Amino acid sequence: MLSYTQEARAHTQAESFLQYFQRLMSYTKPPIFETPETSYMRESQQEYVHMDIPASLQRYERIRRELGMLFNRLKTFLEKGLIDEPSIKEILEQKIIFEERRAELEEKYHGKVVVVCNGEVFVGETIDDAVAKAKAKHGNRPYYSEALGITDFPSVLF
Amino acid sequence: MSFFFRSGALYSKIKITGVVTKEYEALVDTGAAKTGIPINECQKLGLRASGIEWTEGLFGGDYLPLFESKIEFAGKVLDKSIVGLPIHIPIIGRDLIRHLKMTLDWRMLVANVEDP
Repeated sequence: MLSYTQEARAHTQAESFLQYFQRLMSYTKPPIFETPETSYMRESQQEYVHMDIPASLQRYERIRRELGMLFNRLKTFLEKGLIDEPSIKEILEQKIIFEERRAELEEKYHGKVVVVCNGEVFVGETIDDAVAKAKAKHGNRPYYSEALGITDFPSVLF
Repeated sequence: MSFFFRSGALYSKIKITGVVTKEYEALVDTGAAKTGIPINECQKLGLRASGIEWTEGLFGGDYLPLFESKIEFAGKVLDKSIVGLPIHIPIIGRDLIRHLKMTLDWRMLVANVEDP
């Protein structure tokens, strides 16, 4: 699908999570956004205005936005000592794999919980089911999880 | 049994084990799908995030960390993944209470676990 992100996903040990994230973002930038036919610079606000972006390319922008949000959250978890740098890189990678397959997964597994671990997708009725399947195959590797079509936030928050 | 009412809400004692073990008074929330504890408490327990989950509800969504821990609740010991939440009290969700057969009398404020 997004073949050029496959290269971006191959991170190295020496690379910091920040460098990895920046590289991911540069690879996931849709190439069509940079062509003059489809975008122009609004000089007053110094920003690109995109015109006629095909629906198929809007998901690139979604991936970038979601990655940015996830990265910011992961940074705060790192500061609190809840996670380490190699895990951050791996979770970002799993997130991209999930976003690339989101449409297909949402259609196939609506109402179920999906866990992406080491590039593989595991599905369960609950998060515990899906995580157990992932752990049976990949041990304690970090994973990314999302419930498809389920609203399950605790009801007393905030 | 470790259930009790406070201000009209049902609470229970819960013991969570990470690197250290701590006991909490947690709110029993039938509207919550998952059990969670405050993120600050995760730090105190020495838990490390095993994954991240996108969770959403009435107030929008957020990426929250998941932790593998041992939970002692109503006489049962369970290995479970719990969520780190941006709140001040632990919450017992449906993933834990579904293990119990219990009756609640909201008039008399009595909770009975029939089959622990």
